[in-house]
Amino acid sequence: MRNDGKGNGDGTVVEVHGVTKSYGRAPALDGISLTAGTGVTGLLGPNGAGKTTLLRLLATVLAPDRGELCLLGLDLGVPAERHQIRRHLGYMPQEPGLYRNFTAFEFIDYVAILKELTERRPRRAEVRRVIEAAGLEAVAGKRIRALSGGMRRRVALAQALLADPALLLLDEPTAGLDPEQRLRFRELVSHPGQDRCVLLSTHQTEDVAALCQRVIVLHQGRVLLDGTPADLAALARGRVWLADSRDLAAKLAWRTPQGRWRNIGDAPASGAELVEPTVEDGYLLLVGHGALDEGVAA
Amino acid sequence: MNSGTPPQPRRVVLALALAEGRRWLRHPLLLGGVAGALWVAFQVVATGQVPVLSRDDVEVGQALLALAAAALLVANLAGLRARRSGAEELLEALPAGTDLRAAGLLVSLAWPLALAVVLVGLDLAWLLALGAIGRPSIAELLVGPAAVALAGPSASCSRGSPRAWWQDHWPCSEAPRCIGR
Repeated sequence: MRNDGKGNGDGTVVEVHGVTKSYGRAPALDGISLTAGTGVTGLLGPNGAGKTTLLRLLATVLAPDRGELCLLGLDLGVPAERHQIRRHLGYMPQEPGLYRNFTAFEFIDYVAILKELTERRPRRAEVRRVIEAAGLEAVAGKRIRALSGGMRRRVALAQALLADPALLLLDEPTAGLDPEQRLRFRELVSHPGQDRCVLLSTHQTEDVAALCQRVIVLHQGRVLLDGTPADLAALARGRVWLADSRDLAAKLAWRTPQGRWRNIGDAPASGAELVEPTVEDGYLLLVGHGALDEGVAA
Repeated sequence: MNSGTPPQPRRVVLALALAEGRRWLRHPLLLGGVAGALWVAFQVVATGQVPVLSRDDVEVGQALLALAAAALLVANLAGLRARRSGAEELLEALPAGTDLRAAGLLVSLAWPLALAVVLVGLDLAWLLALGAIGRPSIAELLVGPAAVALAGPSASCSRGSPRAWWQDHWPCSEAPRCIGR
């Protein structure tokens, strides 16, 4: 399984086997196992599901209590291999903590040095490349403290794209962005996702539906579903219906802009007006109110 | 881009030192330190007396204490930048660790040190141009640059705090994290 950091021959980039991680007595990850290959994989789950902890483990920032992690065919537990992994890794934390007094260019250049791009000319060319990829040309010379939240997110993404990483880890990249910025961000992320492994944590089902070829639903530190967004939506097939009033049999219901009620539950009344489910419907049934207690799982 | 042979740590340190050095030379505190050093030097010649190098070399050295104070503050700010900005998580995932960042910062102190040496040279040239007499003491002249050289590393030692060190020695890094929680 070990190699030069290009991944396994079968295209698997991320391998997680029985990983457990706790903070004090609170388990954040409870013996999870998963794999991921080329393409965009979404980690979906509510707050506290363990998404960020999993990404921190994969980013080599945290160590697991138990279990094995292999990235790009290299073992995270071996210091030399961990260093090799970091050379092929792009990581955008949930709170990137950018240097406010640096310009966007200076900060990305600084990170490029820490990514071992030491030759000045090629490094500057690489910094300009990621700045262009992230659409930051107009603000590259501005101090980060003067940038909007959306632009700062782009700076964080740009530094993650440095050195063309084989594995890109993005933790809640669209959190706090307005709708236009979110759409632009999806555009940015979908390009690098074509030929590398991108792991994207989010609790936005729209992002998963729009970007991800694969989705892993985490809840309370465990994997509830590992499949395609269509698989997740299919969980709600035959369990989403429209009605003129809130159906008491529904687990969740809300009024649509058209004035009708969209009901989600296990038992629609006979003759109910069933509608095509979305990823959000499947997610709500899987993780939402009471669903776990009733054993809904893939 | 990173698939080739990893660069020697020395190259990373030098690249960091150059990047940090550019920030040193335009930092307002350091520029203030330079202005302070020049102001003190001006006070020496403003007395109107004929400069005596064996006496005024003390002032030349002391003039740089303002620069040393600035170096102390700037090095401290630079050393704690990652922690202050909350960027530690991002930086920990990069191949060049805390030890190389600290080394880069220490090497970058060559810039204010070089600046201090240049200022001493300028002060001496100024005094000589005014017809100074006598011979300066080399030890007195080195007081200023030595103060600058010592001030920076002492502040930079904050990078080598136990927490920063432990974080580079994973998996032991978990212990201080749990303690700090």
